Amino acid sequence: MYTQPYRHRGRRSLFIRHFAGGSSGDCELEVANLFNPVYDAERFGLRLVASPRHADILLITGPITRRLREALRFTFEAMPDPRRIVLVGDDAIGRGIFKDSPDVAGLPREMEPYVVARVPGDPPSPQAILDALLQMPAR
Amino acid sequence: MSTLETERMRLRTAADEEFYSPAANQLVLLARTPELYRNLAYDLRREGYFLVTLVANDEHELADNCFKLYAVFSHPSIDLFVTLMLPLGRGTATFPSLAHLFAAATPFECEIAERFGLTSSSDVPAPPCFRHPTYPADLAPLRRASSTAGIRAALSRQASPFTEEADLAPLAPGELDLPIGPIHAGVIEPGHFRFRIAGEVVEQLDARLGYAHKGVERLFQINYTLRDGWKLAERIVGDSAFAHSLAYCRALESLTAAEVPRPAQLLRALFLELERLYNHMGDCAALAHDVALDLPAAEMAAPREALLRLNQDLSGHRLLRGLNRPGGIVLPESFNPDRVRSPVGQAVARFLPVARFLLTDPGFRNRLMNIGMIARPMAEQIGATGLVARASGLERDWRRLHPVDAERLPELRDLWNAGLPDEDVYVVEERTAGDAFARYATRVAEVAASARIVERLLDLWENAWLDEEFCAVVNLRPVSNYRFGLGYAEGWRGPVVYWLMKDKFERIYRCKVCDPSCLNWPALKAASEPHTDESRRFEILLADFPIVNKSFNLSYAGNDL
Repeated sequence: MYTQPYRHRGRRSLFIRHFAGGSSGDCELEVANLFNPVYDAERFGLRLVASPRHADILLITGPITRRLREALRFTFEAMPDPRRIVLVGDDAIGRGIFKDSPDVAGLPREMEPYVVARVPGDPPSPQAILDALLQMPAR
Repeated sequence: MSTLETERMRLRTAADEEFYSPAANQLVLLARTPELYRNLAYDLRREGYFLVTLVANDEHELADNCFKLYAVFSHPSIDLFVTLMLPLGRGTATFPSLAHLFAAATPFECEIAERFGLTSSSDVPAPPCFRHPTYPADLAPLRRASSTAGIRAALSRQASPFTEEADLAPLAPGELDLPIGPIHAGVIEPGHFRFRIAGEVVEQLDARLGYAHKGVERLFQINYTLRDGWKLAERIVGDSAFAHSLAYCRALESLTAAEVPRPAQLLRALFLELERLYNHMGDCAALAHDVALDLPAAEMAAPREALLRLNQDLSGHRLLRGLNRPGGIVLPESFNPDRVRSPVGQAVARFLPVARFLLTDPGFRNRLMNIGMIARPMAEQIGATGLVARASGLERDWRRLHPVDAERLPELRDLWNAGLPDEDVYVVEERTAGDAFARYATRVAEVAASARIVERLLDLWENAWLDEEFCAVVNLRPVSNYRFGLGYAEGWRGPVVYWLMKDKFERIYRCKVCDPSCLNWPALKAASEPHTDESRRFEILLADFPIVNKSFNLSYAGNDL
């Protein structure tokens, strides 16, 4: 499917910082699969980076537990402008099946304007995540 | 050699109290006093029993009007579970600790202290690896009286979690503390590690978990009925979705004494092996990747993706969700064994040569051997379970020890942990040594065994079976109120155990989830810290820790719940 070389339509590479928001590990598993030899997202210029200071995009999975909210703020503050957020999975988008739990906080309101893409799914397939990342509007 | 009957007779005399047997392989002993509880636990320990799970339950609505503890133990060689039931007495908020007898009790007791607001009688302070600083000490979310709004209000008043801790020992000259997490540099779940290092050597490791805590057990009580609890169960640990929903369904089936139809039994065994296959392949690939052998890593990751696509093809979900129901299995379309046989055969045929090449590759062996060592006595003492225990030479496989349904079939008996087809003694020795390499080799051997189990299961499949035969009706009516059931399934990490109690209606009064990660996190800590075993000193360097961690690959969500 993706054996054809990708045509760069005047777009740049994206450096992604992943944030695990306390999901069951399913979305993390599919995000990791994005970089396996089958999907190999790196050939499209998508790269996972180790620090938020290097990142263009904060990719959030999981419903964001209360215990992680502070860490999420620190991570987001460390990112250089322009910064954008991609929410991956139903849990990250609307807290999913955990929405009635008081231990789950969700995305802080002040970060919502930065969300540029939402990938629904429980968890979404690597293909869906890849499509969403490749179709993101240029900055 | 004790048999089931003699063991039951012995316990009956030892307990000298009321007992009953909810299932053929279960025995519940009532310990009226903490002394009797401790003595019985001591007796079980002497006989080699190991702790399965420790459940606290708020039974103030019931006749006893108190908190109760249920300690579930398993016999090491007979298919027998013994549950010690201890009522704490009216108004009592302390419970007797079993930590001095069973090290594995510690995480459960910390959890009980945190979630029920009970205090342990143990003088040993809770290890910092389980206490989470943001949780108010008096919150007790699992007490029946606490309300969602109350918990939410209390939690939102909490201060910043990133406060400096006072309980760290002072640094010796040359030592330093290295905090890592809860946000990591790769794609992994959240957890905080604090390494005390002297140069490159790890002196001490404190793992603070709890960041993925979502209040799952409370969610079971407030949002789910007994019949649809599987929906939450399969979303607790992403990569063990099938094992978790299966354990939940089996708990309910044991409660209602439901008979699962034979095709559903075979399908359940099949999907459990498919889950094991894709996870083991992924872990082997990740280990190769961690030691910079990227080509073998890629070659092992590709068949894993093929298996995930097979899952999608068979069940409509890449992680095998939505299949289990109380009473059986529901498939989106009719099952055709030929659609499984060749994809699994091809994936395993692609995986095994690469994986076996690494077993003999000097560079790979050099990096993995003798790091993250847990020798057999230590694994036994810690109470390690599942794959970790098997890689340390402990025969802990519940498919053999506590077989359920299809696992009893004589056709499958010789296949559990059969190992690689032409394995010699040296290989067996290496894969039970207890180091990171042993865990890798155990995974490879289990992939080979799983592939043969899948083949045998498909041979047993009869094409005349129709979809209607896959799910029996579970009748909850005759079950008396406040009875509990034990359900378990040997997932790829180890046994997943559910302890489920019915309330007055058809709802969940208490659902205790026990992922094998809960029992194995202390093993990871022990394997990473310097220790001596049979006069050999084992230490790891900081750069070895990612390999050790990956060789365990424990779930954070399954531990934090």
